[in-house]
Amino acid sequence: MIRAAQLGVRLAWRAKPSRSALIVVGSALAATLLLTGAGAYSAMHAGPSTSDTQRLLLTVAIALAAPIVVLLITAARLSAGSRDRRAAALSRLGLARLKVRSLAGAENAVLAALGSLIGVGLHLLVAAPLLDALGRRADWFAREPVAPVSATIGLTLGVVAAAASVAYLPNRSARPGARTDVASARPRLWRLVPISLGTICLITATALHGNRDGDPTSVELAGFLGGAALAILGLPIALPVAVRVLGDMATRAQAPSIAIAGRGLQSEPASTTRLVAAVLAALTVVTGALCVLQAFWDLNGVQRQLLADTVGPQFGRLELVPGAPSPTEAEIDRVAAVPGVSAVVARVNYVVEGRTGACAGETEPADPCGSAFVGTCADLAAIYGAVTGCRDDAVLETRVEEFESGPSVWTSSDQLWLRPNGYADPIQPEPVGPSVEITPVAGQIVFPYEATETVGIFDVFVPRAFAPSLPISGVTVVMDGGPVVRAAVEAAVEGISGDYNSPNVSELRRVEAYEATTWSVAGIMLATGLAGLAIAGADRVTERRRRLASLWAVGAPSGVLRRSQMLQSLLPLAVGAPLAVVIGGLIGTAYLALGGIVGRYPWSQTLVLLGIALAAAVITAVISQVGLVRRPSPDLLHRE
Amino acid sequence: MDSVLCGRGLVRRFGERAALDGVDFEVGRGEVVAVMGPSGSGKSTLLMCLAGIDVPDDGVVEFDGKGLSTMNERGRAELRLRRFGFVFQFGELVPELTLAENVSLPLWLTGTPRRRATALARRMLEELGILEHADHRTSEVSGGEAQRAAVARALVHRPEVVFADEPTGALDTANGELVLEAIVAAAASRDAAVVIVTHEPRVAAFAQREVTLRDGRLHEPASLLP
Repeated sequence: MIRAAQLGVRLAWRAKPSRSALIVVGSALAATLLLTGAGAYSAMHAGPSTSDTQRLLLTVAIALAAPIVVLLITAARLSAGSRDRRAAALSRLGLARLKVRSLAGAENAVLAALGSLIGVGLHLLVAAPLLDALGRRADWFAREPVAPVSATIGLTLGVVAAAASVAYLPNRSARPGARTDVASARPRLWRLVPISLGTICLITATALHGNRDGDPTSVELAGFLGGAALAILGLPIALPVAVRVLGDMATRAQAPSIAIAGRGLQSEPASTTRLVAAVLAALTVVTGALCVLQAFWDLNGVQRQLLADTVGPQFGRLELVPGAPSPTEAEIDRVAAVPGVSAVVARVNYVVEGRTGACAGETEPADPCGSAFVGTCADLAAIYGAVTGCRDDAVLETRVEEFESGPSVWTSSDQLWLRPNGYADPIQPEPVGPSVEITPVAGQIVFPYEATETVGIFDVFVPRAFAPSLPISGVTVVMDGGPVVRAAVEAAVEGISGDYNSPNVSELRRVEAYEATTWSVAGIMLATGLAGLAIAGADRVTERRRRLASLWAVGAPSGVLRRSQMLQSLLPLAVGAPLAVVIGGLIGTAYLALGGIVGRYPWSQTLVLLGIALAAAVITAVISQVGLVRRPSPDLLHRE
Repeated sequence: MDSVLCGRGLVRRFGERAALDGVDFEVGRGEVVAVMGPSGSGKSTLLMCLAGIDVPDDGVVEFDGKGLSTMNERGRAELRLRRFGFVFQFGELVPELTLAENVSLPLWLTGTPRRRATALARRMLEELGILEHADHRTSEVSGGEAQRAAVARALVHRPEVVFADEPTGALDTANGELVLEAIVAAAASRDAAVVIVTHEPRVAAFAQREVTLRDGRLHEPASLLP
């Protein structure tokens, strides 16, 4: 065994350099991604992150693991044909199967170790800049996202072990006298079991939860997680069945390139599927994430903050400390002079007794109370825009227009397991200062519905003239949308006593960070998957060079050869990609359903993702045909 | 006998070494010529140059009175596909295709409807005695049967010249003879010229004429049969 391993080490350096290089590259990529994930997790753990964000990162890590594993397997099984021939020759010489595999394992391990070391270096170089944009934006990381030493050692050894263990996978053609029996290449129907089970689990978990409020039960959660895992893993397992059917159909085509590709798919439905498995995993996971993300975007709070951040208006609030001096007119003017500020309104918010409803902070109100706004109709117009029925000579109740329609569906992010924080608060009544008697209510002010969504409303309007002695409790700054005016106002209020609350866009920022994370993950997963596709495609062409050269020699147009090779890579993707999107959509929908939400399906984003994936796959497949040179060497057709 | 293919003053160098060093060669319609010589003598290089697979550094190759060097890569590929036939050392069939599909490939690639191409391929396989394997793939038949299928592929489109590069190199004696008989008989029935490259005298015995290459030079100049 040790001798076999020693021979394997020697072969690692003497094998085809292109193959060895590809294994090194594959391992380096895998190590870089794993270590960066570990670094991010550890940096997040040390920081003020919530369990929700840690759960998010864990999901990201699992999502990234799938294409990494596929990439590693792809790299470690490169040039399977020539290596199988070598293994068969060694078997004929009398080497036991385990020894043959040890040899291949040692060869892979040496190359993967080199790749992993490069990966460690790459991780140190790229981790911080890669995660900086995401982390800083969402304030997730407490320190640089560099993997701890223990994780570095563990993951590096893991990559090496994984690459080596691929050599121990069963390999039919390595047996002496083994033949490729095309009939046996017909995939068995058991391959459909995992994906079917996964789908059933997802649907069952959703149905069990039904319309019930609250978090999912452990059974529903297990059904969802198990179903999602089975569906994601089951897709590449089931796909060869569809690929074989597609191959059967393609062989009937008139065009030689399609028919040749069809025969190729018939003969090797599983190995051609393996080439695109990572891309499919990426599509599934990212489509699911896009569904959840769409629900985030549909949150009222996010919509509101998005509107405030882009179009406006947005509202800043200066809360005065009881007993502290009120802002001077010069200070108010300084704020009002900021470009983009449309109004600065001194607020007098008070609690009123004699009304039903809970006071702020009280779950069981001891005394019925409500909130009052003491000011003028001009103040109301400046803050709320179109209000109707306001009079400066009477105490008025408030009412909100009936909600008719709008883009928002969800009123609370509590329904989503990954909760954005910093929900915009409505104006809270502030029981400060002396109390005054007010005259009975004489009418109603009607607010537009949007007022409840932006600055919040109050129960009673009291004209300023009715309570001129009440000190102001705060200042509301009404400004245009955008971060520039927000920052300018923040600068202008500095020095004024009280606490200034800038317009809250934290929820928007968090969702933007989730979105950036999703697309980054999509990019990394797709790039990893496509790297595997390109590596395997190039290796495939190299492996078949002699056969392709003979076809070229008999005059077969090179376009036919090129197209047939490309179709063999792309047809499984063409079948698998829509399936991946459907499975991803199902997982995302089930996730939302367990939170009691019926989400909108993100069709446009999914189609963009699908288009990018397919276009990138076509480009990758074209690039991988570089080995198929226009005029092969005649040496390929003759051996002395 | 009319000359269908000829090469004059062919020179092909690989670095400092000249694989062909001023070779003149000619083959007539229906003629079977064996190119003999030890390993590395330049036999296969001569065949590649004559077939338009490789391009000589000097000299001209003419087929049917037309110089191959005047054609572009596409033109030469068209010529090989429609008017030449090839039998390689190891058959080099497409393993994913059945024998019938492999044989019908040259017809199929030149636009013959698939059904007709398959029918002609089956007829050819029947002529060579392997019709029962028409729907088998190369991995499901013996080496001799696969090589006979390669011969069928080389002849199915009625080529004017058949090139065979060590066609029996990977076969035992019995199967080798079967393949050679098939090439010669099928070529004779179609009046096709045959150029067989070999280093085995028993293979050359099937030819009407032998030429020998040594160190890139023809030691017995080829001449047309009377």
